[in-house]
Amino acid sequence: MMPIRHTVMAAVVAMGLAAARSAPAADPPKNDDLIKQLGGEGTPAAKSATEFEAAYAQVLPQLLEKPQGDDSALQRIAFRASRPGAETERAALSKALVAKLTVDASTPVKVLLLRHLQRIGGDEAVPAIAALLADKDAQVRECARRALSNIPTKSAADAIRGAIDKADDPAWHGALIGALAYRRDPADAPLFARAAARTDDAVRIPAMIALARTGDASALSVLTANRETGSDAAKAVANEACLMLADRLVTLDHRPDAAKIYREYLDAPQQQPRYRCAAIIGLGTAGSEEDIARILGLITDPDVQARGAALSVLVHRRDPGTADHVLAKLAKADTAAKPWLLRALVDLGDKRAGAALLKAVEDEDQTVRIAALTGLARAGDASAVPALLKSAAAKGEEQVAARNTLEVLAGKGVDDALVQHIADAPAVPQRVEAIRALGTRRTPEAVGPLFAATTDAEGSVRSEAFRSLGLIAPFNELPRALALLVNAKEDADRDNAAKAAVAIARKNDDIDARSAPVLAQLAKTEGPARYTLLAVAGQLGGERALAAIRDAVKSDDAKTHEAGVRALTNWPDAAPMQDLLTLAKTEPNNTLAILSLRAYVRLIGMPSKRKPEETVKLYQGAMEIAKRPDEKKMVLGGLGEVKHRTSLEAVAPFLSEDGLQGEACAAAIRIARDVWERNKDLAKFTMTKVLEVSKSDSQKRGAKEILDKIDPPGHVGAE
Amino acid sequence: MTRPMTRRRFLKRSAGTGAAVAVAAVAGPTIVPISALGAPDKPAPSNRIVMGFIGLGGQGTYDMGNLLGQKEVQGVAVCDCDQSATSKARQTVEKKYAQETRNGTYKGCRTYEHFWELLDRTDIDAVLIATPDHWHALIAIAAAKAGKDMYCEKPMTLTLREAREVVNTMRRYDRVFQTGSQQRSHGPFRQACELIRNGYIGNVHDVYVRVWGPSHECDLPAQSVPEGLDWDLWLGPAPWRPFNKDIIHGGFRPYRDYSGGGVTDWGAHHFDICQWALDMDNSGPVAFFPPSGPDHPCLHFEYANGTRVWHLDGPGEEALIKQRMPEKPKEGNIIFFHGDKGWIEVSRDHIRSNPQPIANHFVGPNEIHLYRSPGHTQDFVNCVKERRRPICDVEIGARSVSVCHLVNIAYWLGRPIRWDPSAEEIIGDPEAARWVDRPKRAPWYL
Repeated sequence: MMPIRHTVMAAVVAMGLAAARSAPAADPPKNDDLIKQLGGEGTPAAKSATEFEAAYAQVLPQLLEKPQGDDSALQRIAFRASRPGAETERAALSKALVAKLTVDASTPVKVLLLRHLQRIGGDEAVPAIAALLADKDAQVRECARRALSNIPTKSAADAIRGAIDKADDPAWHGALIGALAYRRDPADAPLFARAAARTDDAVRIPAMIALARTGDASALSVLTANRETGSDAAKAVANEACLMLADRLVTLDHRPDAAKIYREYLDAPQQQPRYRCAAIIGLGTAGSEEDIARILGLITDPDVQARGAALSVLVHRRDPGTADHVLAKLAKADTAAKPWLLRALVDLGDKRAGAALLKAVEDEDQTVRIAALTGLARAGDASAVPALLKSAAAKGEEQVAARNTLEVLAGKGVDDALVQHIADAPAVPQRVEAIRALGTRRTPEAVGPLFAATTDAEGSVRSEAFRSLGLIAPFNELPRALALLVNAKEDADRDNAAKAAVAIARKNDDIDARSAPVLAQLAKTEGPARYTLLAVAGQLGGERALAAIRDAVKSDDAKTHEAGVRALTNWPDAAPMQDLLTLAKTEPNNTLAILSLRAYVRLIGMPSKRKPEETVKLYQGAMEIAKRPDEKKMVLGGLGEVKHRTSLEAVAPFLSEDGLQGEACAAAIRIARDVWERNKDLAKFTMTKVLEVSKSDSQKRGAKEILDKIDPPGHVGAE
Repeated sequence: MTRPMTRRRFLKRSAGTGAAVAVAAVAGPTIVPISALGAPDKPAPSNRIVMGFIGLGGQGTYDMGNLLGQKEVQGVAVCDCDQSATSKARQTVEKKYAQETRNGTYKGCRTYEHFWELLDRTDIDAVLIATPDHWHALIAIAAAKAGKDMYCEKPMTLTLREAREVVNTMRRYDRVFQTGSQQRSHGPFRQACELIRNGYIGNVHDVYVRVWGPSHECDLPAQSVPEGLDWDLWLGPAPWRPFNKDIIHGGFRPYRDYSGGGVTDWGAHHFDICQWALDMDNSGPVAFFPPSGPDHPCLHFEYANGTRVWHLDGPGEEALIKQRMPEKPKEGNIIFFHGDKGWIEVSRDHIRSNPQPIANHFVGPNEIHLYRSPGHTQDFVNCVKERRRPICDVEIGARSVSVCHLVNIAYWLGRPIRWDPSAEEIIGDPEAARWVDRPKRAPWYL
């Protein structure tokens, strides 16, 4: 059979068009090439409207072969034809699509064609689409309705209007109203008004919404009348439509008409909160000064939603004098109203807000105090510091609110005030809070005063000062922190200084450089401070620090040796694994041996480039050394993270061991979840064992899930 | 026996309203008082937020769990057109409260197939909307008209016009609306945005965003509808098509009738963060350019100040990275802000920068600070109580999803799109302007 070679030229010639007769006699493109060309690839497929129509007509049969399949090729063609400046192509394609909307076309084909006509169709497509509004197939009718709805020409609107006139079925009538309403043409408002006055809800309800979107003040009488008649559903929609219309009247600059509607909703007794809110919001835009004064009164309304709406209006308007009213109300307000009034002052940005908030911080009611403390974050300044520190020294929610505000309180004088309160605050807890705030604010100017506070007579002051120094002090202050460590008279101070030193040292990204000041200090320090310096070095890492700690481990001095071992156990990377393994096996001090083993197991679990089976061997080695259940559990926990057959094999023997079953089962399930597909026999064996021995329902469920994956229920596997 | 409410029956009942579903009140079940739950640390009933949950697939179930975790929230109703989903969700709710009762039982959660019945309940203060995208706008508008506050999953809408309509309705009724673009409540994203707003990388001239691509037509074959699923209701305002199991349960996202694909799914997160960082929450880009030739191998859009945002996706991605980016971005969905003094890259699992210390720089009290959310659901709950606009207020959700929709339109049509973010109109392209909205299947309408 000869391939189909319908070409643009052939079709055009067949139509007897002179323009085509003069076309060059080159080989015409095949359909696939033509489809690409029409989609915008390569040279243009045609130039004139007639050529385009013929080209589209040529490719459409192929493009419509699978109307429910991938239509991306037709889509490319349609979207290209719809580009600005290509009206010729768009109209040609639209005509070609319409030509396929024949009576005998299948529903899927009609649906596909209508989908594209909805996107690109124009006047040329309207008659054919309009005819389909009466198609015998409901899906086709519906697609035609949507297509007309989305075609922005007058003829499409006329077609919908004509169909509305003929519609008998209320649901279809309502759908057509919806189609016309989609276009939002004010010229249709009279039609919608007539439909809204009907008694059948299927028509009047969409018509009311449509009228609210397109009508003017004259529409109000229809909508208000509908609030009193018909079903509850229709009455509810009538209310919504009235409020929508009011909003529209505001945009049309018919504010007095809109305000009248809003007032009615605000004044109605027993009004639903949502309608009151809408009325308040609306009056905020369309209302008179009297209305705004009324809204001011609503900030203390018993209905929280009305309060919120009133506040929203007032803050948005920012009328002069509003803050005066709020302040006057605040003076007489009850506990429930005060937080709202305080918030109003803050949101209004009034300069007097800070003073009002400071006064409210002393209120008898905690809710008011918390509102005031929170508000100070936006409206406060340095003058709020004493009050905030006092509240921060309290407990519970008040402390949280005050601390949060202290952290973000803006203004140059704030930091100075906090520094001043390190020494001058009336009570120790407030001094502590000042130090804390300086830390959370990362105030660099506070470094000096904080160092001074580390020698304060009060322990809590010293402790907080060290913590804040850890947050603020730059790396170059590390020697100063180490000096405090060395000179500390109390163990707590030394430990706090060590924490600060570690935090400060870690600010240097160069690992060896960060430990250099520590090692320098270590070289000239003896006694308890030396042991603490070793602990600090142990948390910083680096080859030089490790060498120093290894020296300490080798020391004949028991305390130095212990400090060295403990430092190793906190090491941040895997470098001392072998040291720790040796210590775990040979250390005579049982406590240190256990600590070493635990550290060794921790380091095995760190990310590494080892193969999984090598990691499993390391864990197995640790298991052989472990004497106590706690360490064995740690090993099992580590094995559970190695998703490999060998780890499941390593865990399996412990499924039967008393005291370790729980951890062994948990580890086995974690591993099996990842490896069962490649290790079905092993996974089946271990999960069956878990089902047998585990005392945990969740573990049994986990094992069962894996077993069900291996052998799905109802599946009879081939042996 | 109760007959199921079909769409036809609903039409008879509510007379063909689509968005206008504020129909006659249906009496809801009596709520078990909180005192009966034996939870003295629970807020007083007057401070509780009674919630219903609409749309209970994977994301809906996750969100519901988060909301139930808020001590102020009491869940009383679940709704889905798939009965198996509502059944599971009710069990979850009742199991949670049963644990708090003295006798270990609780039966106070009612199931609904139809959201308008749930919205009719006057005892419900707020709802979760976690349906497929094509339902978001209609349900949100209906919920506002019913006086509910809402946590609505992203992407906020299916079309541009829907987004503005949702904003208008929320503003009209002064509803609290939290868009589920929860990255704004994540510390690293706020940190990145604050650093950018404070000028730490200078003037941002290019942003690179890797999210997945746009949606397309659905061409899945027809299958029989499973028992317990109301397929017609699932489709709702979308054009009718036969059922296929791969469309439901989150599978709808590749298909244009229900979603904007990866562009809206992840764009509602990452483009949203761009809007936040660039201080464009009340505006948007002015032009969108699909990929075109070697100089523009990926789609990009531009703001009026010249800042360009590039969509890292498709065959042009590698070329674009080589051509323009100062550093290869990390794998996965990332945002990379490039300024004249450095760059910041942020994702859900990392933040990095050049110069390196910028990323961890502490933004001090005297610098620009953005809304600090205590957590996305907690923020929603706080705002419902205090009648405040939440971190991802409806306007923000609308502006961000508009960016996503315009990206899609540029992809679909394959040509540049000019956008007026003030008038919210596509300029100079009447056929592209048809994509601002899509007519809904009757009887649904905005």
